[in-house]
Amino acid sequence: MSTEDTFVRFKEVQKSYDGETLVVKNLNLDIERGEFVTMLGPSGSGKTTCLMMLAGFEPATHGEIYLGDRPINAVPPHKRGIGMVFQNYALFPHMTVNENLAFPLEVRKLSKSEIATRTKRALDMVQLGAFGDRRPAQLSGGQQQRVAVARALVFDPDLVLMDEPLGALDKQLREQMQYEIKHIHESLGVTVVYVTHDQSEALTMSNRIAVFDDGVIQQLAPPSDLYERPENAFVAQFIGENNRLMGSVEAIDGKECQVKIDNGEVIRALKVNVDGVGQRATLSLRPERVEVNPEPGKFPNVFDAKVEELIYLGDHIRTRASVCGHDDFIVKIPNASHHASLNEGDTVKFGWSMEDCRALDVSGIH
Amino acid sequence: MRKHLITTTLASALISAALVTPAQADVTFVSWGGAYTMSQQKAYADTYTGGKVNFVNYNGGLGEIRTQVESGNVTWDIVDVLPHEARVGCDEGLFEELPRDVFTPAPDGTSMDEDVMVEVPNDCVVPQIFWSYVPFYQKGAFDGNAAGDPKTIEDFFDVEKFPGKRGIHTWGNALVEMALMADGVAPEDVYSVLDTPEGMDRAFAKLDTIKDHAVFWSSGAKPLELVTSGEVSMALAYNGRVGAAILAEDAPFVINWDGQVLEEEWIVMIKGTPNADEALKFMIHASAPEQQAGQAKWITYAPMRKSGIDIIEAGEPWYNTGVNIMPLMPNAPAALSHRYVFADPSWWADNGDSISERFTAWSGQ
Amino acid sequence: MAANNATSVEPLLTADGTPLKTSLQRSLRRSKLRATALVLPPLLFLIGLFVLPIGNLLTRSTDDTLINHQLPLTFAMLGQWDRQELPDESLFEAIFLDLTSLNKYLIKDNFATAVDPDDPAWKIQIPKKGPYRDAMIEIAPHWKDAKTWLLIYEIAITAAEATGTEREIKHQQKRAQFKICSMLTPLTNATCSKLYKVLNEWDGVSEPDEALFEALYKDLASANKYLLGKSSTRMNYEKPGFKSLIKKSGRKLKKVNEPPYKEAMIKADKRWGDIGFWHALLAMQKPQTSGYYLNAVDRKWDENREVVMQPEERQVYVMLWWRTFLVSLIVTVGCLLLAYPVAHLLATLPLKYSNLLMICVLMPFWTSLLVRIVAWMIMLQQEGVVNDTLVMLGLPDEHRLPMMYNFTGTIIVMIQILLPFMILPIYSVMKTIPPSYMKAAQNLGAPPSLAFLRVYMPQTLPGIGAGVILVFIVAIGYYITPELVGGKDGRLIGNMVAYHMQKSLNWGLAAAMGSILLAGILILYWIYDKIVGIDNMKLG
Ligand SMILES: Nc1ncnc2c1ncn2[C@@H]1O[C@H](COP(=O)(O)OP(=O)(O)OP(=O)(O)O)[C@@H](O)[C@H]1O
Ligand SMILES: [Mg+2]
Repeated sequence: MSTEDTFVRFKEVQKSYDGETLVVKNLNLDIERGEFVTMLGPSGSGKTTCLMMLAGFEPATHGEIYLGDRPINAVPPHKRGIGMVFQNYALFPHMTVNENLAFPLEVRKLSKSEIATRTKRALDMVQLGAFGDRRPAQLSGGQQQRVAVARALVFDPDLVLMDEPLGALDKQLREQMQYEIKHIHESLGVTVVYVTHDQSEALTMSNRIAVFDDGVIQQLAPPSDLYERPENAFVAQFIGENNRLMGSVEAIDGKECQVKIDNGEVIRALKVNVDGVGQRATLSLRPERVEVNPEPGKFPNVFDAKVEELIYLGDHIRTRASVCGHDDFIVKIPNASHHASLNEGDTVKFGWSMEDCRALDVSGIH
Repeated sequence: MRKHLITTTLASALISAALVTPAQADVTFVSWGGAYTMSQQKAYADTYTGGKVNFVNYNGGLGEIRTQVESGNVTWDIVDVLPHEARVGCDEGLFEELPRDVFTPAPDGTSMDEDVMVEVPNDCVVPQIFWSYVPFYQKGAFDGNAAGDPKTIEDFFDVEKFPGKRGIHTWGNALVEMALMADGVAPEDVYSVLDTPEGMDRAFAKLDTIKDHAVFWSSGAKPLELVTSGEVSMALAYNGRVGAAILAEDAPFVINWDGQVLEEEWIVMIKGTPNADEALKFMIHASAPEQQAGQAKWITYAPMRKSGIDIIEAGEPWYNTGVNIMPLMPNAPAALSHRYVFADPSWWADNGDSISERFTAWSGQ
Repeated sequence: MAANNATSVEPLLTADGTPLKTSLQRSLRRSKLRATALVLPPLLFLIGLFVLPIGNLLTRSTDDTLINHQLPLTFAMLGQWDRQELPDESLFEAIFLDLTSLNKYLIKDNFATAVDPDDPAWKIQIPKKGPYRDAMIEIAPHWKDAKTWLLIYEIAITAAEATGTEREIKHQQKRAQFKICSMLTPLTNATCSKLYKVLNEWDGVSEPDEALFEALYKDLASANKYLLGKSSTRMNYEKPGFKSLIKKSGRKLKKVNEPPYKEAMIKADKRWGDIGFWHALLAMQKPQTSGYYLNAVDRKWDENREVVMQPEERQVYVMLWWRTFLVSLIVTVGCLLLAYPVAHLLATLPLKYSNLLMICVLMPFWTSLLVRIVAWMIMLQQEGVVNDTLVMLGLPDEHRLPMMYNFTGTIIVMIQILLPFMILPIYSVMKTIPPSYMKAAQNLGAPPSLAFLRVYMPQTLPGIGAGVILVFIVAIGYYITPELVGGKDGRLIGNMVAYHMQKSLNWGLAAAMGSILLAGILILYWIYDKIVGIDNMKLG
């Protein structure tokens, strides 16, 4: 990553609230100008804390945060010029939408006319031109959310932080808003740091995703990489659905390894995050990468499976089966016309390739 | 008249529905609380064999009594009232008028009403005590003062010769009388002078002379604290409070009887009480000379009945701790050898409200 | 379309054939009834606790019916008087009859404008020693009829048949005696014991005999005494001296039997010759009076029925209103200034500290008022702790600060007592304001002070409003505390209300002052509503 384009940089940042436990442990993160970076992770993993340190509401216990080239640890929040959308929007209830939008402009002492035009532009951008005189309480959740976005952008900040801005919305609205935020991001070219614990949201919106757990970034990568190539068991488990098979490494052969799982079967997998023979490993396999009754010889891994349960989901059929001693093995069978249908209790063969089965560590699994 | 009938019928129907009549006929005696009620308890109730007496405290005035009588929900039987209330309440029909010949005469056969040292104003009242407003100071407060210790009511109003602040109460009673006496009016002329507008102005002009040196009090214990702490050099107080401090705590107070204003205190029976018979029996007991004198064993207020005073005088030392009480009695011959005024309740009935307003206006300027 | 029309013309029927409308109405009525039944108890409670007392307050503040019962004839004739000179014999005769005779209780039209001064019945004399019957029937013929007596007869015999314990029976009989008198007179505190007795000996049908009339006469006579007592109190409000005038001359007038009354009355008490007393009567002439309200603002009617100021030495109420207002205002502002930071601390401190602070705030509620006041006295008086400390720190002994028994003392103590009333509503509002607003404001570029002013404080307004109104209203009615710690400055309007309720018994004036207070508070409320909006008030 070229340092020239780096806009936000966390350097060896640590944070502790109580002096006993580290909420953020040695965080190093570079964000490029114009990038859309999402912090994704389970509750309590330190995402908001990072955002608050960036916005200036929490001091870093150790380390330095840079904005542009400038270290900003000593800069008070109101001088950082960072826009922020709060988890519950934090629209000022005693002001109208217009007044809310004008607020950051007024404190910057812009002229009246300038304020009016900017406010209007920002409102139009989120398609709320007609709602300027309403109070926040008179808006729907989605509308409030859009006002919050408009307010965070109205003073043209270079960096906008969003802390679970869509958490309170229903699924449909959330998807629509994801699209709109993404759209605004692309048209304005502003840098966005986004926090969520909804992985599909992270996947659809971000340029890069930082997966947080326990105060540590587990993996920082573009969405496709995260899904296709998780680097540890936590990420594999956290992003997307995942079949896990536990075992120990029997042999390593270049980028391939053989793992003997606990019921005695041996599976050939891609060596990702295992080091030595005899080590415990987690095998991670996406449900859609499993083929039912494959042509013989197509895959190195073919095993007997007993169908336990079928769930009809429209575009695919979710199948739970017993494979290699695990009775929670999930397979997604596309609902295509040529596909043979299974029945509960059938015994079939499941097969998958070596590359799709990733051998990972066991440490990240809670 | 018709409307009248309907509303009263309705009202009394409601009232009698809401009435709860206590079963036991205890007599309820309403008084001022503190050492005063205690003295009544000891002298009257503890010596009474005719039944149980419950004591209740109140803050004076006829407000509650009027409410009880007019609503028909009478829960008090006997009330200890000031001279003004004794008259107004009887005039307005809030008290029972009592037969006079049932009360205990003096040992020499004088009827109770004749035995009382002031005129008995009506048939509602039964004698209680005299109390008075007196000036007092702490021994030593005027040590080294060129004019020596204050002695007269003139001295109380003279802040040049007798420096220091003056503790006075926040209402006008006794103050206007004292002011006139201090201004040279003979005690017997005080009310006729006050009856003229010029006389009233004269009283307030005299009060003006101590106004800037006045510390106002409104509860009876306060003047004692003011004098003890040195906040004021002299104060007016109820004689009983000062006397109690001297007798009970050996407080080094000196009372100047000159210029005192004596007030009556009566007991009355609330009109319409269902305990009328029991209450009357108790009132007969409480007003007998023995009991009247007995009260002075516990407090330095004086019996209204001459025969009561005689018993005390003959029985000295009379106070429960074994000291002489007569020197602290406001109507003992020694005290009455100075100038004094018996507060005139009918004058106060006419002028009380306007004095109250004028006094408030005066003190508020 | 046609089918639609057809159904709308035909009445809709429910399953059992009753028209839909009827059945809807029936079901609505049922639910209405149920709702009413549910609402009724709290409604009655509300009426009993608020509407009735406030109604009573308002009626009392204008009520002058009592004196109109006492002086019907005088007031009927007062209009003819020129008010310049002492009235002539006819008016003296009228007031003489009103004060001494019982005719006013017997004559039918005996109140306010209905009074007919030309009715000869006013002048008929009932012989003091009897016989009473003939004269009384001549005055009021309807008393001859047994039916007229029936109502009081019922009361008497019902009470005589009362059952229960001896005490309860006695109580019933006493009440009946009061009730009979309240039927015949405007008094509720007169006892018609003689009538009670005689009525119980009567059969209720035979023609009323002399015994009944004698009892009626005697009971009315004793009631009249009380009415006279009450009206003289009322008259004394208008002119000091009226009370003793009525009382003293009353005794002497009993002996006067024939005209001319003017001479006799002035002889009985020369004050009857003072035109001032007659002018004072003018102010009471109407059964409804605004006099109490005028009095409450140091004004009165003069003899030409014009509003004039009270004489200067009696002007106190306006001053007291101002003082009360000022004290309440200062106390309110003081409370607000102290309460705001405390409430903020309470709302933002970590729980374990804020709990402790909350206990400190609430502590005063658990301590007796008197204890607190005494504590302040010990602290603040001239020889008190604060002054002692100051002297120790070098303040000259003769310059000890007067902080007690004056205005300062009133303010300090009242602020301390009322502080929780301000803290709690503000705190409860602050508690609901998430910290994210302040963060958002700063994030948008506002320095902390500006963020506080523009974002935080406006949101606490509902709490401020509630606290201010609460403290102000409580403060404006305070009187015991100021009296104890305020010395001469401690007299507020509440003291005067209490004084007139308990001591002077001028309930009309007390009610008028109460009504003015109430109106003041409502106006305040209205202003608040205009500025902030009442729905914008949070008590917690
Ligand atoms: N003000 C604070 N004082 C003490 N501990 C805190 C504070 N704020 C957060 N924490 C702790 O720090 C850890 C990280 O909190 P943080 O709010 O950053 O989590 P998060 O990843 O944003 O979680 P979520 O998805 O639930 O919002 C948590 O264990 C939390 O309990
Ligand atoms: Mg969070």
